[in-house]
Amino acid sequence: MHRVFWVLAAILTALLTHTVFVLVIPKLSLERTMARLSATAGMNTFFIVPREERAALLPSFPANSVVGACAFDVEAGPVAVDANMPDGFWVLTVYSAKGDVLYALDSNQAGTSSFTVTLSKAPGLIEQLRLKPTEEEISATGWSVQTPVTEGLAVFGQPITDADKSRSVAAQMMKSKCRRS
Amino acid sequence: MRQVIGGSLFIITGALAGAGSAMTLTEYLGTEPALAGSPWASRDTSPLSPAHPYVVAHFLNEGRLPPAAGLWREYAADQSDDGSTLSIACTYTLTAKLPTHRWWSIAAESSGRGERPSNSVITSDTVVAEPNGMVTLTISREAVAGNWLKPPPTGTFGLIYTIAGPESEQAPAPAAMFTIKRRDC
Repeated sequence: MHRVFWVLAAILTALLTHTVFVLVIPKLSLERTMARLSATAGMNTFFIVPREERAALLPSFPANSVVGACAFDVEAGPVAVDANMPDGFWVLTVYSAKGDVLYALDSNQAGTSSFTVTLSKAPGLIEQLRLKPTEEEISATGWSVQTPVTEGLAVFGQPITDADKSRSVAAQMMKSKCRRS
Repeated sequence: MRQVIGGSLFIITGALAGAGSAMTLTEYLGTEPALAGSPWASRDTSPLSPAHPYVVAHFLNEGRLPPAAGLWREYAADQSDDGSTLSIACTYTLTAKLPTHRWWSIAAESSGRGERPSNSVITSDTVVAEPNGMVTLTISREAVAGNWLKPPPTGTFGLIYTIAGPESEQAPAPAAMFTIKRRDC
C-alpha cells in the first residue's frame, strides 16, 4: 500500500516537474528578457533594442539591423502601436508574455509603412456572453489584436547590413510609438 | 525511517524523470527534416501543432523569440551533407537555387548553449547570385572572394537559414535548400 502511494507521488512529481520545465521556466526567461529590454524605456513605450541584444533576439538578421520593441501591458486598457517603418523589408511580430505569436506582419503583407495596431485584453467568457458587439464595433476591429495574456512584447525588425543606413533607419523607426489608446 | 528514505527516492526519481523528459522533448519534438537525407531541419512553430509548447520553450530557453509561422520559416543545420559536424577547421561550400522574390538570410552561430551568435550573416540583399538565381557561399576562417560567411571564432558551429514569404509555412522546394559540401579540413 505504501509503495503504491509513493509510486503515485513520483508520477505526480514527474508531471509537475515536466510542466514547470515546459511552461513556467521558459515564460520566466521571456519575462526576464522583457524586463531587461524595457528597463530604461518602461512599459508601453517604443524603444530601439541595444545592438548586443539584437543578435540573440533575431540571429538571422545582420549585425547592423535595426530592431525596435515595445513591452506592453493591456490590463488597464488598450495599447496602440503606431508603426512608422522605413522602406525595405521589415517584420513586426507581437508576442504574448508566454511567447505565443499574437500577430505577425511583414512589409510585403502590410502594403504600407505607417499603420496602427491596437492591442487589447480579450474578453472573458462571461463578458463574451454578456456583451454583443454592434456592427460598427466589428467593422472597427481591423488591425487590432486581442490577447488573453495582458503583457507582451511587440518587436519590429529591419535587416540592414550598411552601418550608415542603419542610423537613418533607426531614426525613421524611432518615429514609431506605443501609447495607451 | 526506511520508508521516508525510500519515499524520497521515489520523489527524486519522479522529479528527474519529469525534468529529463521535458528537456528531451523540448529539444526534439516538433523538429522535422527539410528533405529526406538533408542536414537541414526546422521546427513547426504553428500554434495548432501539438508540439507547440515544446517548440516555444525551445526558443525561449535559448533566449530567443520563436519565428512567426506564416511570416518566415527557419531551418537549422549543424552537419554537412556527409554527416560530419560543422567545424571551423574546415571549409564548406553551400549551393542553392533561391527564389529572387523572397527575403532570406543565412547565419553562422556558435554551437555552445548560451553562446552569442557570431552574427556573420548573408542575406538576399547582400548576396551575389548568378543570373539564374544560383547562389554559392563559402564558409571558411580565411576571407575568400565572393559570398563569404565567416564562422564563429572557435569550435563547432551551426547554420540558420531563414526564408520569408507567404509560402513559408510549407517546406521550400528541394532546389531552394542549401547543400553543404565539406571541402578542406
